[in-house]
Amino acid sequence: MAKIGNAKKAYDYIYQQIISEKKELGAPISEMEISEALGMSRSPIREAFKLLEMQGIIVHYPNRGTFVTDMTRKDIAEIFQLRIMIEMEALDNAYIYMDESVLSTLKQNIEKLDENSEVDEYYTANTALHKTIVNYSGNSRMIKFYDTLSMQIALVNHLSAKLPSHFQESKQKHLAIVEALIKKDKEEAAKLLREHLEEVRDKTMLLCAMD
Amino acid sequence: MEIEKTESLSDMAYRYILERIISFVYKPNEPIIENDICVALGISRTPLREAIRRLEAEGFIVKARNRGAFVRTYTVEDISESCDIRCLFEVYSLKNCIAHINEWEIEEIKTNLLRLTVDSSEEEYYGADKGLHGMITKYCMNARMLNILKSLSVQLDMFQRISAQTPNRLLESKQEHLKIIEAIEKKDLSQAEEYLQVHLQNVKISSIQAFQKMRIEKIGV
Repeated sequence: MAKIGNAKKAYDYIYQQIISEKKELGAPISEMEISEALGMSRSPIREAFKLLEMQGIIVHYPNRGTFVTDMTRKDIAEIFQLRIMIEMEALDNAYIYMDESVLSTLKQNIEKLDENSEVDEYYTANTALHKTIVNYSGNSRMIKFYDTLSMQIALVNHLSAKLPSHFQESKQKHLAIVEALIKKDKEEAAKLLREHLEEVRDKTMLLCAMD
Repeated sequence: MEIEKTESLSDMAYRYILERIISFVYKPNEPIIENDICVALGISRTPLREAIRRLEAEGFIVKARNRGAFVRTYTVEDISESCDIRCLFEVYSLKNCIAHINEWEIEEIKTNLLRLTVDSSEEEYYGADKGLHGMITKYCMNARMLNILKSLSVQLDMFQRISAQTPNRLLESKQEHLKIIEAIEKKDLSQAEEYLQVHLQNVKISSIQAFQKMRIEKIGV
C-alpha cells in the first residue's frame, strides 16, 4: 500500500516537473535524482517511470537512459489526427445524448473565465468540454485511448498556452461549440469543433517549429 | 535478449488467458489461478503477472485487493467497441492507401483471395484476410494509430475466429474482400469506403451473434 502511494507521488512529481517545464521536452530524467528529491527508494520511482512510458510521456533508450519525450512535428500531427477522429466520432452520440444540465455546467464554467482567471482554470474548463464529448462516445476503449493521448496533448498544450491571446479566442470557440450542442445543431457543432481542433493543431505545430 | 524472451513469454500467457476468457473456459467472476497457469505453460510468475497487468488494463480481468485477479463479466460491448475503433481507423486509412498503393501489392492480395475455395483451410482464409486489412492500415501513416490497432488485434482475431464458425461466413467474407480490393484498384474511394464499412459491420454482427450463441451454450445466459 505504502509503495503504491509512493509510486503515485513520484508520478505526480515527475508529471508536474514536465508540465511546468522544469524538465524540458527531450531532457534526461534520472531515477537517482528523483529518489533523492523525494526521499524514497527507487522501486516506486521505477513504477512511475513504467506508467509514464506507457503513456508516451517519457521514453527509455537502453544503455542511454530515460528522457522526456521530445515531441516532433510528426508526433503532434499524429496526436491531433487521432484526437480529431475520436472527438468527431464521439460527437455523433454526444449531440444526441448530452443533456441540458451537463451542457449548462460546461457553459457556466467557460463563461466564468476572464482576464483574472489562472491558466489552470482555462485549461480545466476547456479540457472538460472535450473530455465530456469523448465520454459520450459510449466506447470505454476509445475513452481510454483518448485519455492516454490527452496526457501527450498536455505536453504540447502548454506550448500553445504560451500565447496570451490564445485564451480569449479559445473561450469564444468553446462557448460557440457548447451553444451549438445546446441547440442540438449537429452540423454546426461538428464544423466548429473541427475548425477549433485544426486551429489548435496548426498553432501547436508552428510553436513546435519555433522551438 | 533477455527482455525479448520475457516479452514473448508474457505474450504467450496473454493469449492463453484471453482465449480462455473469450471462449468461456474461464467463466465470469472466476479467480485466475496463477499457479495453474505457470504449470500449464511452464513459465515463471514474472511474465504471467505482466500478462495479467495487460489484461487488467484492457478490462478483461479485475483485481481485488489482497484477493488476486478475477475474470470480468464479458459482454457484447467488448466486441462492439473494438470493432468500432477498427472500422474508424481502417476507413480513415483508405484514402492514403488508394493514393499510395502499388499495383503489385493489389495483385498479390487479389491472387490470395481468388485462390480461396470451399476446400481452403481456415488458416488460408485468415491469411488472405490479414493481407487485405494489413495492407489498408499500414497506409494510415500514424504510428500511434497502428499501435492502438495492434493492441486490439489479438482480441479482434479471437472474435473473428468465433464468427468463422458461422456457416458460409468465410465465403461471404471472401466476396466482400474482393469487392473492396477491386474498388481500391479502380481508385474509387467512396465505393471502397462503402464496401469496407459494410464488410466490417458484417464482421461485427457475425462475431456478436456467434459470441452470444457460445455464451448460451457455455454458461447458459
